[in-house]
Amino acid sequence: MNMLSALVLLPLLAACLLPILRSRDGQNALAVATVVLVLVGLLSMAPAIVQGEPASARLPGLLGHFHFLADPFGLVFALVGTFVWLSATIYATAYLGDDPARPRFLSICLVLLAANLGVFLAADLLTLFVFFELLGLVAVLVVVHSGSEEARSAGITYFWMTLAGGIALLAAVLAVQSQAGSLAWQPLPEAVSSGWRWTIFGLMLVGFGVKAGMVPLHIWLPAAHPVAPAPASAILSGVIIKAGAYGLFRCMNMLMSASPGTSAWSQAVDMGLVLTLFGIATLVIGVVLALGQHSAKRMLAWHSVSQMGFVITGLGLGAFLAGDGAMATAGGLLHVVNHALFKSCLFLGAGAVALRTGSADMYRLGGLWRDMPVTFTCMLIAAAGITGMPLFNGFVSKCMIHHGLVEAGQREGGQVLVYAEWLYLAACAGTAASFIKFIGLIFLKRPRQPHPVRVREAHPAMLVGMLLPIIPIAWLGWRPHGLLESVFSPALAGQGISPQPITYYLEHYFLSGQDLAASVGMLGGGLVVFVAGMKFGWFTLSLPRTLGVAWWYRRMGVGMIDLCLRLARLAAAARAAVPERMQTLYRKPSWRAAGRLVRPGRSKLPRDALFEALNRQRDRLLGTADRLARRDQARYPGDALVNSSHMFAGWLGTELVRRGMVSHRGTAAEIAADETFCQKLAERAVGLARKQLDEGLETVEIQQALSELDPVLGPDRAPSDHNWPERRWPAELADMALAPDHAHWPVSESLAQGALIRAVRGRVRKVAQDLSTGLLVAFLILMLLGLFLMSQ
Amino acid sequence: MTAVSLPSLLPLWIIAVPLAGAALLAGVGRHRRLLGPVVLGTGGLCLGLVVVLVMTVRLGFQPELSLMELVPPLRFVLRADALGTLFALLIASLFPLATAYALRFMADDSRLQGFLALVLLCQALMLGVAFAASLITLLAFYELFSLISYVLIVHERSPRARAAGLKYILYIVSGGVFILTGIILVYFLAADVRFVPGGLLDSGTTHPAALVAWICFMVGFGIKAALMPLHGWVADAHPAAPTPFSALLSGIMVAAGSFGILRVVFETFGVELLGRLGVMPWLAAAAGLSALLAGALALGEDEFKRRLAYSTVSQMAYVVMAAAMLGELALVGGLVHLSHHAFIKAGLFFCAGLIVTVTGYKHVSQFDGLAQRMPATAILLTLLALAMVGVPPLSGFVSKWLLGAGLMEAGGILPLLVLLLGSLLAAAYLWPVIFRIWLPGPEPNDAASHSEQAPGLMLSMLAATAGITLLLGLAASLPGLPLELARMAAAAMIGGGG
Repeated sequence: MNMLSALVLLPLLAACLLPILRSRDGQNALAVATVVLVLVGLLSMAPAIVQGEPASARLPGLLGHFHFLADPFGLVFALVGTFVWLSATIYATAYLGDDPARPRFLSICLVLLAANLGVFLAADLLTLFVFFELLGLVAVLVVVHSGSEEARSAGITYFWMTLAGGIALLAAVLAVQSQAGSLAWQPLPEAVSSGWRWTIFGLMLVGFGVKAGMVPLHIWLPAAHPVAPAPASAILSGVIIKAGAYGLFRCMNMLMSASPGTSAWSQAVDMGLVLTLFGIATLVIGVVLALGQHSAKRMLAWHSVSQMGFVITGLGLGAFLAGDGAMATAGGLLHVVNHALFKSCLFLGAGAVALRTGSADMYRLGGLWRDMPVTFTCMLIAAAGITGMPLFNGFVSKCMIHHGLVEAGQREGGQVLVYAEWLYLAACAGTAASFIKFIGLIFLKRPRQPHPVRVREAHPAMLVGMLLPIIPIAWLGWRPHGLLESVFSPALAGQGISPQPITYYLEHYFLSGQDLAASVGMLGGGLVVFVAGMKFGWFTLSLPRTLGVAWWYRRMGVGMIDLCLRLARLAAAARAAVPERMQTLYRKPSWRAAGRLVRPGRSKLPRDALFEALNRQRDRLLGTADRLARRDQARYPGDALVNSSHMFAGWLGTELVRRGMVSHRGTAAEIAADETFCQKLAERAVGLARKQLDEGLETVEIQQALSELDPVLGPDRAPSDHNWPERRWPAELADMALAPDHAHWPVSESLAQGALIRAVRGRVRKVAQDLSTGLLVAFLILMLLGLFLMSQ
Repeated sequence: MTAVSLPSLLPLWIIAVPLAGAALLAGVGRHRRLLGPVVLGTGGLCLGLVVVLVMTVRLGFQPELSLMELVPPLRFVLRADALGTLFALLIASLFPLATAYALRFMADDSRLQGFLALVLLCQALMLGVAFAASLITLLAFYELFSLISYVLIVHERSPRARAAGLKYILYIVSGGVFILTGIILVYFLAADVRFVPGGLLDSGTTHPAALVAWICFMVGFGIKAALMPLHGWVADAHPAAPTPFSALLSGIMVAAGSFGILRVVFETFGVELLGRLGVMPWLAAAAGLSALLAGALALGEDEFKRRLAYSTVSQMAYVVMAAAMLGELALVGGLVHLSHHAFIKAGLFFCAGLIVTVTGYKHVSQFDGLAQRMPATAILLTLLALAMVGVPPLSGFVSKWLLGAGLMEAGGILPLLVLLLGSLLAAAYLWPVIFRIWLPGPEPNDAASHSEQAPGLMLSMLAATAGITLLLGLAASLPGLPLELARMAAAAMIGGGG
């Protein structure tokens, strides 16, 4: 075990230790110290790795070993992730306050950190898959942390999407293993056919795309990120979705990369184009939906979708431009780093605002710059980063991707990618509009109604959490050269991609007049969209839900469950070989019943209307009998008549309910509503009571009273645990074999008391006793034999 | 008895110990305090002997013991090869867990002593199945334990249990007839009924009887293995039987059917002959359909034990599907899945029993918010359910991975698709359980109707299965665990040649 595996194990160990600590400060200190240790460990390894000496390690487990490898890409992802974790953990120590679930939350965060490191440092696909699944499924716990109805619903969506993505990824990994014969991150052999290449690409696109929030697999993201506690949102949006981008990057640049000129190479270029188009769709749809949000956190979540679109576009363009794609790929990777920084900061800030004011609705807030100046400054800088203001980090990566897009448009011949460029610029303007709205509504605008109590600045620990990412946001906007030239360039060169475009960008384009002009134009466009949107109410339009993919996914899921239910019903119907049962068993499974299985606990159990009606009739019968009896009460001593009437009426009522339930439903329902019949029964009950008090009753008469029920409910059918004399034994036997739940044992009940059975039982018991003694003796003999053999 | 050595007596000892335990139980009569020691002592001793056997087999020995001779070629022979040892290991480790669980679960039952004695008897007979070295030996032990299972299924003597038992016995007896027919045909073809690694029958046989025999065996063992059109008894017998026995029924007894199929496919017919007959794709198709349909049926069941029973049908179908691929890797996957599934499913049944004991709830729709009342059970249930779905790093993932790799190697993408769809279905029928337990709906259940602590003994047995699940996931490749034995067995059965 060396440093690398220790880094992955350390958070897991800390997560186990954390609940043992009793004191709050101890838990906080442990969590923060663990993250700091991991960060320091990664930093200490960084110089050697950037020099081109990747570190590798392995841990025993599963089918042999987990293999880890830290190359520059994995290291950058891991470092940025851990940095965000640090700020979120520091923030969480104050944010959680006295939440009773805080040890659980901190532990889960540490487990997630370990899983995240495992994903970024995995050396083979199996290790990656294991940690990827762990990351996805453990994250359910932070999504449902609050336990609210919204969180439940988001948790369900999240779980299913993650699981479906995981299954697609597993299929992809198995396909890679069967085709390439190895699970390492290396190019697929040339011999792998194009069908398999596209299958693997498609499966990975789904598997990683779900995690990356790629349209149309993004539906879980805007649901899950806002409901999690703020530090968890920062981790989810800042780091965990990057696992998807990381996987796509590895898939495009390592599995699919091929030597130029081969057919595999042209397929990789086509895949790059497909990925680019998905990226463009993601970034446009994300921005459009973000503009329509009221809640700050939901808006940020939609922007996560959109920003992942930028990343995916960059990666796709890199693959499309193949050997010349260094700038776009590096832009995509840099955007991963940038987005992790500013999105976590934004989520933390929105969380702080929501915590202090009690609301995340942008339209209700306002004027907070005065009350929360530090938070305001942080948010301003982070918003400048995400909108791509010059001198802030988003500017660099967005420009790089844009240049890549222009170049790809020229190469592709101006069919699709020209429109893609327009959409790209429009999305940038939309982002600007969105964040003008964010800053303007929350911090600058005069509030609609003044806050009842003065809003205080956030807790210092929360401020530290927000301030930490601010430094790299500004630094990367000012000097991106270090990261681009000394980390990404050599690493991409190691993959056979010429780093020359990156150098060219930094020398000729970075902060050039052209880029600045584009940036200003985009900001102006954003301002126009914002003003027009506020004026004409564009931001409050809502789209029909059939337009969203979520609605269709749910339809599909419910449809599948419904199909399964139908199958189950059919099976039950087939088992009930008797045709008349078909109808009662094959009741049409309803959407509601299916929905109950998909989203359990939402609706109540179905109520049996017939039983309730009969029960009401029974109560009515008791009441009527009571009234009738009280009329003649004086003629008998004390309450004798009333009590006796109650007894008879209750008995008749119970019989009514019982026989109503086994008889034909229609008739029973009629009876249950028939008041004259009730009156008649009540009179009968009082009559019986009177007769009993006057002259005593015969048993026969009580039985006769029941015959009142016969004409309306039909003759009393035997309750279900007796024989059915009208049926013949083959039907009986078949029924018992096929549908035992409904069938009954016709003979044994009577035989069980018979003399024959008693005799046989006695004999069997005796034989069994003899047998057991015999076995004991046999065992002893065996043992002696064994001892004898052993002594030889 | 030529050259009887100590290792060759091991299988006999392993069978004799539970037999003696059963006899002792009958002997101790009404002294209930002795039940626990006797049952656990026997189970522990048996497990210890099996561990010794595993160590012997890993060294390359293959203990063989001829018990008696009926007519010259028909002999009762016990042999502990890798496959049999793997199965014996499962039996010997799962039975003590279930009997210990039963000690507490059925503590109020006046007939507990008889129940336990029969369970031990059943264990001995199943071990006989594991060690059977010829078809006739296999059949003898197989039929005996099936018959004893009947008594255990109807233990509660309710109409429901009796009806389920009747259904079970009808199915099993007709299955036995099919197997016997198959054996007669095999004897007619090869004049012998031994199991020979690589196949007993001449691989050039063109006689139609071979095909008929194959169909007979598949129907006969398929009934026990709950292959889809023959699965009728499973869903009724599981909920009707007492929970500890349901766990065994699901974990081991159904697996015995798959075990029989494996023996017959690889050691009576052989890969070459079956490849030439071209019948295995049909079996694979039946198994694939079975896996998906049973998963769908499980989704529609509200009673937890019935849902689990259908889940067993679905999971065991993978094993048959893997066997039908006739590939070595697929066979390893199938065997590992069989072993890992046994512990997961037994654990899930233990959960069902615990929930019934503490709350009286049997239906999934009643489980809302159980985690508050029984947190430990809830955590373990979640763990086991996730293992069943195949989430890494639990044991279910290891077997799903091996199965997937094997199916991919031998059969292409279609069987893999079945496997992945099946695990999606597994998630669909287990997720509502997990979800209800942890996140109850807005309207609270009738909370704490009779709030009592989960019994420690039962909980510890559940924890043991969960621990094994975790161990088999995190360290599946440790020596002596099912993965290694499965690799040895597959190598012997496919590469062995006869």
